[in-house]
Amino acid sequence: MARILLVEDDPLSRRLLRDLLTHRGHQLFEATTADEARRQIESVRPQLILLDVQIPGGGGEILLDHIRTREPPNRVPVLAVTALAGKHHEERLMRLGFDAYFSKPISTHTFGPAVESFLK
Amino acid sequence: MTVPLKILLVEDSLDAAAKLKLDLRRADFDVQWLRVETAAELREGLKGFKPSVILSDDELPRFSAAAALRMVQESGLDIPFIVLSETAGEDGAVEMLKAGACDYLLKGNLARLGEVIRRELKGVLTRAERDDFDAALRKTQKYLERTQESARLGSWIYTLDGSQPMIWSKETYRILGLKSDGFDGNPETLFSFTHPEDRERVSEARQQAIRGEVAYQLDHRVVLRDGSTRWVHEEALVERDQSGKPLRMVGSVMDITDLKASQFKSKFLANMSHELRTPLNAVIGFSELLEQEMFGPLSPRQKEYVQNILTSGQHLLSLVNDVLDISKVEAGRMELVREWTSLAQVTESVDRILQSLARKKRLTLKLSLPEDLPDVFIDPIRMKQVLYNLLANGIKFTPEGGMVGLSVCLEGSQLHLSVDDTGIGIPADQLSRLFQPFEQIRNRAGGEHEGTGLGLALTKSLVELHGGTISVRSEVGKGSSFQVALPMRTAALADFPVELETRDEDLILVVGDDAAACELLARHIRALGFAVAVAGSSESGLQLAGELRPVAIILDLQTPQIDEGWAMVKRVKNHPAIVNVPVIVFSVVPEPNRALYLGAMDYLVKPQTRDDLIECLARIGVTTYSLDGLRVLLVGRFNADLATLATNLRDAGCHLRATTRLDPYEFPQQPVDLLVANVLPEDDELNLGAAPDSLPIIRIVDLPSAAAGQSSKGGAEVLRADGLRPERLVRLIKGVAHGIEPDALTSRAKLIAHLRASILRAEGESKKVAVISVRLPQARAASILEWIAAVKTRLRPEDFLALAGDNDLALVAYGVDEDSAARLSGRLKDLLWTVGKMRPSRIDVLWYPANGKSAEDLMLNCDRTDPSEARP
Repeated sequence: MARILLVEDDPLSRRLLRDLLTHRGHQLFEATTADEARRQIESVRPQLILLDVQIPGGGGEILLDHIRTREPPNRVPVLAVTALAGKHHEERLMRLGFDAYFSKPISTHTFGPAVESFLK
Repeated sequence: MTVPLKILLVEDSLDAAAKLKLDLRRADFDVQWLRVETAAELREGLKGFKPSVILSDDELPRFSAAAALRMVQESGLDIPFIVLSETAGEDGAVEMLKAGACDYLLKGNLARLGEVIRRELKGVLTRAERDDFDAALRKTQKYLERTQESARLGSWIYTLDGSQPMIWSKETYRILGLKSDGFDGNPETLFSFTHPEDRERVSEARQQAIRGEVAYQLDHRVVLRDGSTRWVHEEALVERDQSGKPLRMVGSVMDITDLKASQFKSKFLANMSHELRTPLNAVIGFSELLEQEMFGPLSPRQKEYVQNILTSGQHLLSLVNDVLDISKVEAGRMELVREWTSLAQVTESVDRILQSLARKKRLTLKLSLPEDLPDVFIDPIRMKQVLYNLLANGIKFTPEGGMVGLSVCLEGSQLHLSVDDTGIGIPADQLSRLFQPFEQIRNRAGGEHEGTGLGLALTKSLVELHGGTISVRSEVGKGSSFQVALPMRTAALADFPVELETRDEDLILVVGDDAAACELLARHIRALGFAVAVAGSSESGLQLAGELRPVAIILDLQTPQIDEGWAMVKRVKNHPAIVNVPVIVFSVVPEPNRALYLGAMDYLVKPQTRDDLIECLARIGVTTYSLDGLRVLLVGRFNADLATLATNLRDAGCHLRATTRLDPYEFPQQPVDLLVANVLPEDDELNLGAAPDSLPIIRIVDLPSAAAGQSSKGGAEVLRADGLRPERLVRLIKGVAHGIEPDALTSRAKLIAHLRASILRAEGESKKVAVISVRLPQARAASILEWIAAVKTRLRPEDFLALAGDNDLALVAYGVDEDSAARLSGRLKDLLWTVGKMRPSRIDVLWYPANGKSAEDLMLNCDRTDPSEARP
């Protein structure tokens, strides 16, 4: 059971991931913009972040940068969940510093265990 | 000097004729004569005799000089016509000259005749030259217009001080939708065509170019008089006087509307495919959750409905994926990742997926491959997609109880794949549209066959990216047969100097038609640690580039072939498989802008030096292995091998000294960085033991020392047959001399330690670890390992290869799946064959956590695995 922050602006994707992960016993926190996400990170101290790269208001890449430049011990796993599919996008996002890359649509069979593999 | 001259004389008097002959011979003319008296004779003479000069008497009984002149003029021939008169009559003379005679001379005074004839002949010659010149000019102009028309490229010249009107080529008018007289030469008129939103940008670009800051080069829109918008690409050079003052702009304008449209289309398709993923995420995700009954049970009917949604969602997803792939192909961004692949492995995984589909339809699905099929150089993922699409297509269109099959055969240099079904077949009139995107064949048994309509189009593109072809035969009611022919790389390249089977170095392709220049360049490149292939024409260059996947292409352009060279740059950039290979242009013509515009990454004006080459490769991100300044001591008997070695090392920038036998006392005086020993079987005493322990040694040997029973001290060993290849040698030395200790030179203890660390990590990350253990036929593991380490380019950098015993090697691969483990063991097998010409007696793959929970367990299990369970 972990505190997971879900940064995603599409309400149905948010609902899907929330139901899926809550069902597996995790505690979900949600944000729809980068600003909201920053506040949540301060208050909730999530153990893992799922980030839609294309969120409005500054975008996920800047948010990732923000998370990565904070002081340790906040080396929190940040996983990209994105509609940008293809090897080219995967490589680019991994280079940016995401810990993993999931392209939409996710597979509900493997998503849970895959996310949990990043939790200590 | 005697000038041969053909004179036609219009004259009735034989005496007068004889006198003329004499006069002209005196004037040094060598004359051929034809004398005529009548119009009919003259007509005949003009045709048959082909005179160069006509002399005409002005008074003839049955003819006149004036009539004769008219006839000559009407014939259209350019022959000087000189009138000779008995009497001096001002009027007659003026009249004849007016009518077009060249001169009017008195028969009594023919002193000037020779001079007049010479003058007139010269005039004829000049006129003929001018006509030829005019014709050539017209031809060139026509050719230029045609070329501009076909390229949709217009040109213009703009005099900056406005002293001359702006000049446009015909194509410029056509691009702007104007007639040739629709332009007043005012540059502002041209500007008025520019799209209002682009005007500022264009104007700024022009000013910057005139100020000499940047080249004038931009895409912008133009609005034609009919209101339509087109995209053009403009480029121009600014001509300056000696003080640098700008005089003229000479530019080109190209209609790129179609290009832009296809760029927009590809971009649109890619965007659409991304956009559709978000709703699909909900459709597929929620129906999966329902179907798993995660939040409560469903009634049988609800479950059926959910499955319908799910199937449709997945179908939609495959469509979206195909659209993305198609957009990549169309944008030229689809890249193949080719590797040596076992086709059996590709077909096996396709078989696994499709058997269940075939069973559901009660079809027989049979995939048959010849047993001795060699590995092929293909992109395994894309080839899987090709076979999957064709077979799934066959299954889809074959009724229950039918058969779908794949058969493969190798014929000469081609691999033939045939996918046959006993399905409903395709009407002949629809066959040609089959491979076009979105061309779902309709009326195939009443619309029950939903498909993406993209699968076959994509399949065709993927086959073509592999250099292959696809075709189809079909009979309605009987079935269809799809034939794929792929070129096999090995056979196609038998003539080329590169030994592909053993290539482990990166390769640079040199294209140029001056063999000597290319060979010199190739030598420089080899000395920087690269394999080289040389192509003599752009045609073979393109083919080689597709097959060899070089890290860079160097075009060595000679002046006469410059245009072919430009075309080659362009074609590389339009070639989906190699579009990302950087192209460097070497040329005597300083036209870097053009090269860069066409897509070249770098441009060097010849003659280029070795340093230029190194810098240039560094700029495009290719690491070179220069050994500049490395002090090497060559040890051994001087023979041809040592001479080759010395040349190669000198080419690579080493400082060389040579000695036949090592003398320990000379080290303190003359420091060296590396010893290269030419170990010959008959020379048992090179005294290598005298070298300081810290000094790296490379031994060039015929046989590996473990097999020869010698003990070896640090450093590396390299086979003579192989090690003399400069590119191999340079990489090896770079590794050894600069103390790049390859991971591989490790013992079993290090292996266990690494495996432990991997297991620990895998435990935390829920990953698998594969241990690929290789049993060698002889106890040569240590030396084999050294060689592999020296050429370690074909294993993934994160893989750890180590010694597991006297005749065992083990590769620890972290976080791989079964497919990639199988690929890795295949590569390992290749590598063993390449470096040691040996086939392993066994290859086992063990997994953490399936086959053992600790490093020691796993290694023990490796040793114990029953050979019958081994997965080669």
